[in-house]
Order: sequence, then C-alpha cells, then structure tokens
Amino acid sequence: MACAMPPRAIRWLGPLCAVLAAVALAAVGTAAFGPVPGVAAIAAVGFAATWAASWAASWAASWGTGWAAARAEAAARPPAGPEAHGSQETMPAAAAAPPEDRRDGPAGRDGADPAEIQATLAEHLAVYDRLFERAATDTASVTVETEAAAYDIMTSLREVDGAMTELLSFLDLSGSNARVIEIVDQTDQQLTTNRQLIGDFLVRRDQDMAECRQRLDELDVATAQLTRATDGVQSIARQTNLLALNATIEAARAEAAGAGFAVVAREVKELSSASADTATRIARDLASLRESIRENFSTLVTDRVEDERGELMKIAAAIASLTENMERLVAHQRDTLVKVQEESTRIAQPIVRLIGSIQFQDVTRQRLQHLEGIFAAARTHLQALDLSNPLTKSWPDVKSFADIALSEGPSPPKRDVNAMNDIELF
Amino acid sequence: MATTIMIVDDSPTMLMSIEGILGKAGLGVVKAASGEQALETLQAGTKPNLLITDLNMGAMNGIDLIRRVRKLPGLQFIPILMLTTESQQDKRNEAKSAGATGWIVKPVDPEALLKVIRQLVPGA
Repeated sequence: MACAMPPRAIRWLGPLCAVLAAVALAAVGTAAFGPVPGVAAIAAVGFAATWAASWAASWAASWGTGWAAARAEAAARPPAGPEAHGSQETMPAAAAAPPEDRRDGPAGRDGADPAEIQATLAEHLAVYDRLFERAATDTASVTVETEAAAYDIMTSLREVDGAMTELLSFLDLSGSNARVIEIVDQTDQQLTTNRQLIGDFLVRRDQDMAECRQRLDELDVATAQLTRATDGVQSIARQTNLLALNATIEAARAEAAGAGFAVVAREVKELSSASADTATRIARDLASLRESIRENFSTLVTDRVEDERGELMKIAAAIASLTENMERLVAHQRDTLVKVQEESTRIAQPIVRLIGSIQFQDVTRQRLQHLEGIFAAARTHLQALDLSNPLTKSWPDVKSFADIALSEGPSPPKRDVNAMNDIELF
Repeated sequence: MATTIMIVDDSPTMLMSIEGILGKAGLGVVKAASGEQALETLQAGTKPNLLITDLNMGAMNGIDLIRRVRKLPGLQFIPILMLTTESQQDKRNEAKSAGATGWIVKPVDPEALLKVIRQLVPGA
C-alpha cells in the first residue's frame, strides 16, 4: 500500500478525521457509560473503523482507476522498510518521500487532481463540522429541557412535602387527639347535664302536680264545707219560714190587734224565702265550681302534663342516642387520626429520598455540558484544518484536542442508590 | 440558635433539593446561585455554621470561592464541603489546599449528607 500513498498532507487528513471521530465516539461513550475500560475499546474500534473508511475513501478517490498501475509499480519497487506497511507507522515514511513524489502536477502522478481531493475532503470535514454542531445543539437542548423538567419535578415535590409537613403538624397526634377528646368530653358532660336537667324537671313537675292536686283537694273540701254551710242556711230559712207562718196564724187569731204583727210575719216569711233561694244558688254555684275545677285539673294533668312529660322523655332519649353516636364518632376520629399520621409519616420518607434523587439531574447536566465542550473543541479543531495548502506544516495539535475529549469530566451517576456516597473529610 | 447552612450551586434544582433535605432536618438554609452571590451575602454579615458549595459554577468556581471565604473575618474556620460531580484526586487536593473541609461527590444520600453535617456542626 505504501506505493499507493497520496501526497503527505492529504494522506494525513484521513487518519485525522479518524482520530477526531474516534475521540468523539470515546467522549460519547464516556458520557454515556462512564470512564470504564469498554470506552477505550469503543474508541479503538471507532478509530480503526473510521480510519479504514476514510483511508479507503481517500485512496479510492485519489487513485481510483490507477489502482492497478500503482500496484504494478509497487511490485517493481525494492522492498520497503518496516514502516511501509499500511499502518499509521507508514505515514511518516511516506511523508519523507522526495518532494518530487509529492508534486506530480495538477493531476498528480496517478492522475488525481489535488484540488478535487481538497474539495472532497473539505466537503467531508464540513459534514463533520455540521454533525458536531448538531450534536452540540441537541445536547444543549437536552440539558435545558431536563433542567427545566427537573426543576418542575422538584417544585412539585417540595409542594407535596410542604403539604405533608403542614398536615402532620396539624394532625400532631397528642395535641389533636387531646383537643378532640376534650371537646367531646365537654359535649358529653353538657349532654349528661341536659339529661339530668330534664330528669330533675320531670321530678319537679311531678312534685308540682302532686302539690297542685293536694291544693285542689283542699279546695274541694273547703267547697264541700261551704256547700254544707248553705244547707244550714236553707234549714234556717225553712225554720224561719215556719216561724213566720206560725206568726201569721197567731196574728190572725189576734184579729185587729195582730194586724201589725201579721205584716212583720209576712216580711219575715219573704226574707226566709229569699235566704233559701240565695243558699240554693250558692250551693249550685259551689257545685258548678267544684265540677269546673275537677274538669280543668284533669285536662291539665292527663293531657298537657302527660304530653309534656312524653316530649321530655323523647328529648332525653334523643340526648342519650346523641351521646352514644358522639362516642362512636370520637372513636372513629381517633382511629382516623392515627391512621392518617401513620400514612403521612410513611410517605414523608420516600419524599425526602426523591428530593435527594433529583441530584442525578445535576450530574447528568454537567456531563452533558462536558460533552458540549468536547463537540465545541472538535469543531474548533476541524475549522483549524488548513486545506488550502496540503503541504502545510502547521496542523492543529491533535493531542491537545484528544486530551480535552478524553479528560475524565464529571463522574457518572451511580446506579446503585445504596452506594451513592463518595464522601471524604480532609 | 438554629444552625444555618449556606448552599452555593448554580443549579436551581440542586439548590432546591439540598434546601429540602436540610430544611426537613430542621436546619436553616441560606442559598446562593453563584460564588459571587455567596461572597456578597457573607460580606453582608451572614455567618453560616457550615458552607456547601458546588465546584463548577461559571465565573467563580467552588475552589476560588473557598479561597475568598477563608480570607473573610470570622469565616476562616467554618466547615466548607465541596459537593460536586467531580471525583478526581488532583481536584480534591486543590480544594483541600484552598481550605475545604471535605469532598462529597454528587449524588449524595440525604441521610449521609446530614450525618456529615452533624459530625462537623455539633448540635445541628
């Protein structure tokens, strides 16, 4: 293959592109998997494959149809040194060839047009440049998008965490339960007091009714006595009437001498009659009064008081039911509080771990930024290649670029969460 | 007096994450989005019990910040932890020379971070 070497500068461009591509592959591999031995293998394979491809393209473009002639010429030449065997080591030897070998006129010794080769290589390098530019843009975009997404997630997590903390604080078991129990105890006491008040009221009501009944009985007795008194009055009236009748008879016997006495006797008779009537009316009124009192008292006791007693008993029963429900409610609420606090505490721990896990995003961001730097360096390097002069001796320093691209950069995120502590105290 | 930790990081997400971890542990937090902002806050009189800084933060990196902080009165001896994605030994040595108290590689387990803080700030 040494015989098929293109001019020195052009022959270097293929390997240069290969180095760049291999370095970029290694950088991407490092960013994706970390600085593991596999990356070196990826870089080596990338280098070899890309170098071979670029070399073949360069060789084919330069010598295409003259391949057979070049081969024949190679066969005719004396054996070359160990450096002329198609590997990277062959290139310095080729570069050391006499100047006339490198200046074969516009079409080159083998008929290739250097200007055309330069244009083709420039075109390839421009493609590399655009690819690196696109890669850098996409990487930057991913960085921005993941940062924004992580920030949103973090904001939501903090909101959830804040709400949980607030809830736990509100549900502080000892304080909250104590407050509820205190309120329920107060309510229970109030309900018991109310039941007691109703009971006392009913007792007092019964006592009042008994007292009222006694007073009415006394009134009945007094009325009966009055009725009996009217009987006496009527008896007196009857006797008076008899006396008046006797006096009238005696006055008639006395004839003229008894005329005045007859008048008095008639007046007495009328008075006794009036007294008897009055006593009868009083007795009748007293009987009516007694009947009215009995009737009203019966209505009061049998209807209103008993109804009232019935209603109060219902209220007492309702209060008892309310107390029972209240106790059930308190028990349920206490269970709920305990459950909510247990669940809240259980959820709080994963939230803290999630908040900590967001750090992975920052690691990824910095690794992507490292990658952006590598792409930028690759573009700078490509743009520094001077294709206008194939014989230039001022090639950009590929080693410094390789150093940048293969620098360690940020550490890869650790997949094992339990092993994610690299802490050193000085 | 409550323990105050200053966090310096150019990532708002990281600031919020570390603030969340420390806040839940009952620690006071002062945040700064850059080395310059951190210096400004410290020069204004804030005296944290411990400082946690990122390494790569643009104009002023974490190591530069530590060098500047160590020159501020009253802050020569406060613990300063570097919390970074980097793990290279040469950078650790540089941070140590600048006055860092420790080096923590992100991501760090919240409990492990709190343990280190409590180790460096008794009573935190």
